[in-house]
Amino acid sequence: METFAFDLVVVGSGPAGQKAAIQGASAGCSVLVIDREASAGGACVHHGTIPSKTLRETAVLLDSFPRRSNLDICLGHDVRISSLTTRLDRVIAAHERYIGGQLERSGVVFWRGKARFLDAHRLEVRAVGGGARVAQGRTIVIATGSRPRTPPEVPIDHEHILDSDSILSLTYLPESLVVLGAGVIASEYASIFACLGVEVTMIDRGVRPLSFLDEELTAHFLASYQASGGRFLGGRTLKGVEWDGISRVVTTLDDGTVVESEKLLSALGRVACLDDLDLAAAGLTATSRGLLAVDAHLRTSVPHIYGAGDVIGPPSLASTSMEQGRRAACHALGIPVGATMGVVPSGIYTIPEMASVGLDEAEARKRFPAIVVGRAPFAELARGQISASTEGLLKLISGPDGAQILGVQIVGEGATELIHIGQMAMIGGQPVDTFIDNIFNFPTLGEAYRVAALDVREQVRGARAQDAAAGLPIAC
Amino acid sequence: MVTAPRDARHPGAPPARSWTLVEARQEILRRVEQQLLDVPMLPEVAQEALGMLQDPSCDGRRLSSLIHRDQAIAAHLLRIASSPLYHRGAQLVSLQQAVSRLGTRTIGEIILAVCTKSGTFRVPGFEAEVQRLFRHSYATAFLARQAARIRRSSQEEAFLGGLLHDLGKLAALQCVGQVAAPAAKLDPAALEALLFEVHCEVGAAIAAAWKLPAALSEVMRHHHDPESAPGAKRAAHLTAFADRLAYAMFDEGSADAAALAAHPSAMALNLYPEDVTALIAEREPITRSLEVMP
Repeated sequence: METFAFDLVVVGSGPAGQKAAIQGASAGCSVLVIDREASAGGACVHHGTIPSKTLRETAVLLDSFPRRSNLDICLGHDVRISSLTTRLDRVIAAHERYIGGQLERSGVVFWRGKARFLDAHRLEVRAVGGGARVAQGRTIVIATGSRPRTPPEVPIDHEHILDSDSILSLTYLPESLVVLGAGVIASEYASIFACLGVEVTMIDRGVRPLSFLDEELTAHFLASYQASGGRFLGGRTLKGVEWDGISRVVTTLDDGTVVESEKLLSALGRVACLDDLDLAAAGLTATSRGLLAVDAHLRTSVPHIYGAGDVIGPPSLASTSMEQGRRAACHALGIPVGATMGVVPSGIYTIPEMASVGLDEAEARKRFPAIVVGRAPFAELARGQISASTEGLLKLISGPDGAQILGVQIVGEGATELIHIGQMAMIGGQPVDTFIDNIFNFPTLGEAYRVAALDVREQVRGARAQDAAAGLPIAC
Repeated sequence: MVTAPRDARHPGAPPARSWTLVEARQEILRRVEQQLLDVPMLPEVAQEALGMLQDPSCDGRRLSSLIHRDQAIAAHLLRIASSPLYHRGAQLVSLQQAVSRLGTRTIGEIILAVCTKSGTFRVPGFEAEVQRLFRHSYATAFLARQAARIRRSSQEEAFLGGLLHDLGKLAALQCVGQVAAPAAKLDPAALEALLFEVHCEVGAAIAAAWKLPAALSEVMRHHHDPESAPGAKRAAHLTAFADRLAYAMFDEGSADAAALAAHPSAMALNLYPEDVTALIAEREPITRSLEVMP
């Protein structure tokens, strides 16, 4: 087999791999990206982030159009599904072109093939039509991503019993859908399909969906999901799932509950894609959780091999993966990256959206003797009324004196955009009053920050007045 | 040369005289233009279906299995099940969807109507050819579904495309058989060439006349040229590759994974040699299913 040498070899072309490659190329390195698919993008483009968010966007539009226009128009079922599938293909194709073009313009070489280590510096790459060649890298970045977990008790056949990769292959909307799980992917798809008129039942061991998020936020989400007709069966354990051979997936729970549905989505976690790499040949092993262990610089136990993205474990966000890929390449090339910013937002693309940065209310109460939580219901915002987006809520978590911003929690349309305002304020060390003392465009949803900040101020004033009346010293 | 009696059902056909395959081809295209195409059922399958429907112990699984292995029943079922009489709302795009939405009782009613009212294939001398067609279609459907599973594409859509991709050949063969009785003198190679030439056009005409799903229609027209499919390229590639694979496995008797992995559709679908090997390993379950077919 012929060997080709590069300064940087990146295995995987998802968010982490792309940014590692671009960083290397911009530093003047010869860079090779290897991916088993025909075009770059990884699961993010082909099965995950891009298609699910596109599906969501179209579902929201189809659902909100009658509300916003006040026109009594009922979009037929066939209009919805044909609109969904056509848009998905177009958006994915556009993103593939964009990423491919960026890599090409940067001078990055792309090989389509399956890679496995031959030794610590070389990988065999088998092409899709047969044949193989060898890539040799001075530095190697493993960014092979993750895939849906296949629990042994769920017989996923990708036809009746689906995972998050095959759910997008549906060519018609099922009449009913069971969703196993209550994490991000489960909640996103459950709310999307409920919004589209599918009878959805979420089933999970946890008592509430998205248990890592602020409880008030998830209560809002649950209420909205249930208002769309969705059902949540929490605190349940799965006993079995089977396709009846005719038309129904039968899900049996430990308490005897039986749920029948046309399709089932298993969204019970993801596992790192490391199996096919033959890590041992490179002197590496996966952890007990099947992940790639890296240090603070994203370096594995083999000094010139790095890991980035889902393969190294949480937070497993496209946003953090991109930054990890960039940092891994920078460290390998001796390029300074600056201090790590600890203020990382998270966005959940459910319907409605949710977003979080910093501490949520429960975490803040644990860490501080007293906190002040300012609230801004979207129903109180002019833009909320104009956009028919009145279901949202912004929570501003502040310290006991109502000055320091400890966190921002948002549920409602635009949450994933709005969160960046709070994130920037926290990064800049701005106090809560910055949202009162500065001007926001009117009418906007961003004004929710001002409303919440005013709520904080009022609560602080009220507390001080009470302390004064009680003869207590007033906290400054 | 063949002798063609006048066919009362097709008054536009030339009077009884010796026909060449060239004239048979013209007759096929005339029927395409005038939407006079038949999709006949195999008499043995119609008999099996009727027996099944009359059997009180027959469960939905057997019925579902029947419609999933016979292209004529499948095509008629989709045509009728999508009509306003049976289904309102979005067009039915897969056999499984039809079963799920209508229920096995209604499916049974439709099959009964199809079996008793549709024409059956009764053309002496063509039995082996039509049997081969049905078996090949089933094998293609099975393999297309498995390939779709590997690529996380719609298995239902892939199965349907594989099952019905050569429906045009069946209709064309019915037409040739009707105008060419007795048919024993036809040159097999010339007949095969004729069927190959017209079947995509005939299939697309049936799909249009019967208002079959758009993706299916594209597969029926473009499975020999998938890159020309305007909206259903992937589905067309799945059928194209499964078609080739089915021929290699069951007609040619040898399936070389390495060679098949270089097929343009395998490359377009991103099927690696090990994926093709896995598909070839499906020979046994397909063979078992074919053995129970009439």
